[in-house]
Amino acid sequence: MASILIAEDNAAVFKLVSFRLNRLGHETIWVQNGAQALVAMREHQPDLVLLDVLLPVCDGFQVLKQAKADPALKRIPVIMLSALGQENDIVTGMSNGADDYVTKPFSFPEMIARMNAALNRCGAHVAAL
Amino acid sequence: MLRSTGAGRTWLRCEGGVSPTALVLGIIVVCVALIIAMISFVMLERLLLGLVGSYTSKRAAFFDDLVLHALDAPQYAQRLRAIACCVYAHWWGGAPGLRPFDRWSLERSLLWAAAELRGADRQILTAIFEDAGGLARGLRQLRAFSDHQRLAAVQKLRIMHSRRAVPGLIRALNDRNQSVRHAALRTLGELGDEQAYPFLLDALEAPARYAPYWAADSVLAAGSAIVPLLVARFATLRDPQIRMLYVRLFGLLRDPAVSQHLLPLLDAPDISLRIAAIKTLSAIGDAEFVGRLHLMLADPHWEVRAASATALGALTDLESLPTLARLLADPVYLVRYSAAHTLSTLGTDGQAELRAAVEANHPHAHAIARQVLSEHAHGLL
Repeated sequence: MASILIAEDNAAVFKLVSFRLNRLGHETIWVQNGAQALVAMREHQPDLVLLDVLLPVCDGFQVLKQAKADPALKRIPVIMLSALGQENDIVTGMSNGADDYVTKPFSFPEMIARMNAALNRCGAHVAAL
Repeated sequence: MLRSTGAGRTWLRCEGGVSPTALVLGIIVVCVALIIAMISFVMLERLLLGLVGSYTSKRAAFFDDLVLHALDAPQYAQRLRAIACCVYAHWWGGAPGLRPFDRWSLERSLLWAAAELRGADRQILTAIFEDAGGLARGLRQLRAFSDHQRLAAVQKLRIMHSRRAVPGLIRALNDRNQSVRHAALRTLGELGDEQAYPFLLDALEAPARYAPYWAADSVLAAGSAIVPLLVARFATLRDPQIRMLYVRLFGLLRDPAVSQHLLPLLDAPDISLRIAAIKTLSAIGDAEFVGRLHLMLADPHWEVRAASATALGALTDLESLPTLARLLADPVYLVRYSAAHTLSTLGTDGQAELRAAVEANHPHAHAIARQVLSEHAHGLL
């Protein structure tokens, strides 16, 4: 079982993703803005973070930069979520240290495969994914 | 007739009619009554909408769970399909456990999930929507009297991504409301059905009826599958503005198949068309085009020389360095600037040409090379 932090201000996306992840036996933590995401990363030390680009208070790129600059958080793999067709976001995210990218609208098998790969790379437990 | 009393006129009564004072008072009373009626109506409407919203939200939570389970396992998808059939067929629900107006809540849940998903997950929801009667209802709603209703119907069909809606959406292209027409165009582009392609191109060629932005956006949404038809139409076009629009679309679609149709445009008498063709070909990155660009750097029209210099930068053609260096002495500032800018983007070799120009005696070349090197050093390029 993995613990996955979902930083997403859209409740619909959270509901869809968390339902599927919970069914696979994973724990999900939901935060709705960038500042909460950083606090939750420090508090819960999740196995993986799904980070939306457009977040209130501080956006996904800022959260990513701060997380990758913090020695306690930089090992946590981060997958960015963004609207389809925003190539610039993908380049910015990857160059700031994101482990992967998922575009919205998303497909569950693709998202889970990417999460699986990111968790595998950092050696976390991924048996059920 | 007005009655006057001593010191002044009192506007009280008019024989054989209503006095002006009474008339004013009457108007005030009517206005106040109207305002009270409007406020009451708005309050009542809000109250009703609040009640309906609260009712449908509770029911939507029930349908949200059904939708989530349907995405997770086929047996739940079958169950949701059966429930949806009842709900779409009967306004009161039509089965034990279902309630009046569940159709709204079910549709809301289906749309909510379909908007965030793609691929196989969305296909599950689309199939349920189509089979249960949601599609038929959406198509009926396309003929509603209210513009808002018709627009909502198009948006619903767009989210559900149902290809069976294509004929209805093609009819909606002739809607009396422009927003409905535009939404239908965009939806047809996204659906990517070949049946709709000729209509998308018709819209592109009718700027009075469809805003060019929306028409072009729908063609781009269709992607490279529409390119063969776009090329065939382009050969028959006469209107220079529409031809220009097509050339720009070719550039945005970046399909190498269009290069052979664009190369003849490099000799077109219309300068704007030639420049659009240069930009498009540089976006596509055609190898044959690079040779032509070298020749176009000596074109008598400065706009063509400037566009060619910029295109060589986009193609990162190092063989053009000596020709670009010569352009630093061009009599037209924008050509010099384009050439200098391109040299600054062509790595150390290009920047070496600029530094050599700073040392040169030619005043134009010296000034522009210095300016661009300075801009580059300050991170402005």
